[in-house]
Amino acid sequence: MRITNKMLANNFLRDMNTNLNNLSTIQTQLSTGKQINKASDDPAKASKIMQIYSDIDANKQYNTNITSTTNWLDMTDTALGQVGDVATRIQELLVSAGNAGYGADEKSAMKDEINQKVGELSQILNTNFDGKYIFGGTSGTTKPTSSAVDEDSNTQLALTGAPGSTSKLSVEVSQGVTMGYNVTATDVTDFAKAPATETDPATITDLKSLLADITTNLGTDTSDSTTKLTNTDLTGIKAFMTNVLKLRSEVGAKQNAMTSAQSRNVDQNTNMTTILSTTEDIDITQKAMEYATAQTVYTASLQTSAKVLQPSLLDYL
Amino acid sequence: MSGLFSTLNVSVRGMSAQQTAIDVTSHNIANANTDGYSRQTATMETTTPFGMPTMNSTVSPGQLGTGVQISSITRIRDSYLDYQVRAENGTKGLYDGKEEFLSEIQTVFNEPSDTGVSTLIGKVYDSWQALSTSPELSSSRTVVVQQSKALTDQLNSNYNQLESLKTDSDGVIKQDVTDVNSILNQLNDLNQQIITVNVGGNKPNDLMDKRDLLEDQLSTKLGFTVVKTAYGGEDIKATGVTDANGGDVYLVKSNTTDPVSRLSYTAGADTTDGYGVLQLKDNAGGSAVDYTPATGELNGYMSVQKDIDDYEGQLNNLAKSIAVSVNTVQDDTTNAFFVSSDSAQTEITAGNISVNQTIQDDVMSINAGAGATTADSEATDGSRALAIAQLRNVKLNVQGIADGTESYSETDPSTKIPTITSSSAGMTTAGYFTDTVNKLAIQTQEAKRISTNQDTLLSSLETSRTSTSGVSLDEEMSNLIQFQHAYQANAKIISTVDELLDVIINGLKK
Repeated sequence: MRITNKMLANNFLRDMNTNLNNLSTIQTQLSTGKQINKASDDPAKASKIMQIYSDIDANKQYNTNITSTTNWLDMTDTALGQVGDVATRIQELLVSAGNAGYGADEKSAMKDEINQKVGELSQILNTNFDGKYIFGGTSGTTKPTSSAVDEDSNTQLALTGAPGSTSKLSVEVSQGVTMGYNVTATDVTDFAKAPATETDPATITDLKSLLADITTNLGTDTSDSTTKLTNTDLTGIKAFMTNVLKLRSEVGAKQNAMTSAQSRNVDQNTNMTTILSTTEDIDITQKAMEYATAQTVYTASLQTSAKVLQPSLLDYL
Repeated sequence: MSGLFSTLNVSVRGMSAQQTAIDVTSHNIANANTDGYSRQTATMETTTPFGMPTMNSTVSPGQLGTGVQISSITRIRDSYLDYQVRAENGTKGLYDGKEEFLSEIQTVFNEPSDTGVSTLIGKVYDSWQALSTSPELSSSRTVVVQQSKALTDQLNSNYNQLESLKTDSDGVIKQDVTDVNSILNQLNDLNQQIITVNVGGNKPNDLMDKRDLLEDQLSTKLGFTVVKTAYGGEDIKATGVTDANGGDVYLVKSNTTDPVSRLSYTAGADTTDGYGVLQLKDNAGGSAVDYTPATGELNGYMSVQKDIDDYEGQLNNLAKSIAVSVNTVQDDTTNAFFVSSDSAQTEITAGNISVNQTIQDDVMSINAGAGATTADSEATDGSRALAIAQLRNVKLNVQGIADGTESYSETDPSTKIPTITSSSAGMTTAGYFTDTVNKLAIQTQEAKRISTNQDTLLSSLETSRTSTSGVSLDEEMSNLIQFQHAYQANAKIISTVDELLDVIINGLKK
């Protein structure tokens, strides 16, 4: 084959361009730390990366959801614990009401205390967390309960009965998995479904009536009312306590579910980040080697070409 | 026996032939770096020999040579290589044109990145999630509106960028058409000059080089066939198109009275798709014919218009399916979340999708709860917002949304919130966009790969061509030395003959 000067020059220019292109690609990869800078660099990888980014993004939102739900549940648990404490105190008072030595004065003192406790219960049920009443259902900006003093100077507990007060709130904790997480004031006060014992079902089925009954009975110092206090009302308060315990165990179960959902979420995030990294990031060692090779080739091509292109017959004439 | 004067003549011829050869060599050296130049050689041949009948012998020992002459100056060129180069140039031009625009589209989409549409889609759904857990806060509603606005702004901007790319492609095609017509006119002129020179019995080497170079340039723009005619003329025929009578369409004709066609381009002339239309119209008053070059840049640019349209269509589908699905679940006909910002066009596209101004003005008017209207929904009820957030993973019939035949809505009897059931043939919105980007990436990669392959192929053909036609300075220098020596030797003969004549004229008679 006949070789001309222009062929040598052209070949050199073309090869140098290829070498510089290689260097430029490796330089971009090394300086960005990413294998892919345009989708067309590797379409399959690019769509995988986009998919993983989208998944990680969604997962982060689930994590936020789980965290705030966990806080909510912790708050609910604390509040229910306080309700339980109040109920225990009321139960103690009722038991002592059966003491034959207790006269009208003692009962009146008891009544005063229970009236205080009614107000306290109302306050607990109006617990506010993050701007919302946690027992308020979907009407979370309205107080679910109120307490008012009636003409007998008894404190009456009342449910405000906002339209959404019995509704459930739900949250998405992972793709397609939604969980109801709230306890409404009605759930707490309405203990009908929790009989104290099988043989002795509670005759009063809600906290409001029960507390009203207790304060009325304490106000009238008759043997009939004392019997009622130690029987019906005591049974009622026990049923209420059972209900609160049941709710607390439900909340506890949900807390557990949230904890495991969170750890699953974190695991998933770690896995996806790892996959993303192996798909997207460069192997520094490998790239450094490739860079060294590319640079050597480039230098060699410059050195050789500078020597080959320079001389011509003219130098010797 | 011939006389000394005849010997002088031989030398003069020799000197003149060597001088011509030196001229050719210097022309070669001068044009060593000229594009399209083929090296030339001066072919020498002996002049007609002289038989020497004499008075005493009719039988001579042989004919006596009378010297040398330059029979022709020819360029060294392999026309088969030209043919190959032009065919490959066409393919390269086609994919170069495509790649140029596909890369631009890729830049418009800007994926994978954390600022592109796919990230924004994710952020919109995230903001609905956040709204579902705290619907009572106006801040979470503002986030939904602002994220959605960021998404619609991005979609609008991408759409507009694609539109301006289409306008750019019109501009590039127009420029190409002007170039092609100018090349064709130059070719026509050269053709006539070449024929004239050939008729005069000379070889128009440099004109032919120029014509070949122009044809090379033309081949990157469109595909054509060259038909050789008498006296070195060439007719150029457009491939892939016939005139109104089914005949060939000629762009250049050796016979100046025959009609030749020129290109014209009208942007947006296609009545169905709004693509530009390229036409060929002859100068003899024939009707114009639509023309899509078989290969070349023009084909690349024209095909890219369709690609841009496809991607616009996919963005439209995406915008529309996001809008339709969110609006369906939002279920408020008087206060839809996404609306068209173009009052003349109610159908939502990527170009006009926007967040309802009423909602932007009053973020509390987003219905996040289960109530039929915003007023009916409880303050902390985020169930509808949750349903919208869950659209992220619902497979919608995004592909078919343009038809308007797909049914999206299905009311779940247990709540008042309409839910959208996943379609087995559908795609999630983010998935659809990823798909679009993927398709674009593959197309770009293919165009780039073919363009690179063509580069390699062309450079090897170019090497073959240079190997045949290229000027080698070393070769020319060694030729020059030979010619120089021959010239000097001829001159030496003249001075020798001069000495001999001196002997005869001045030496014989004292």
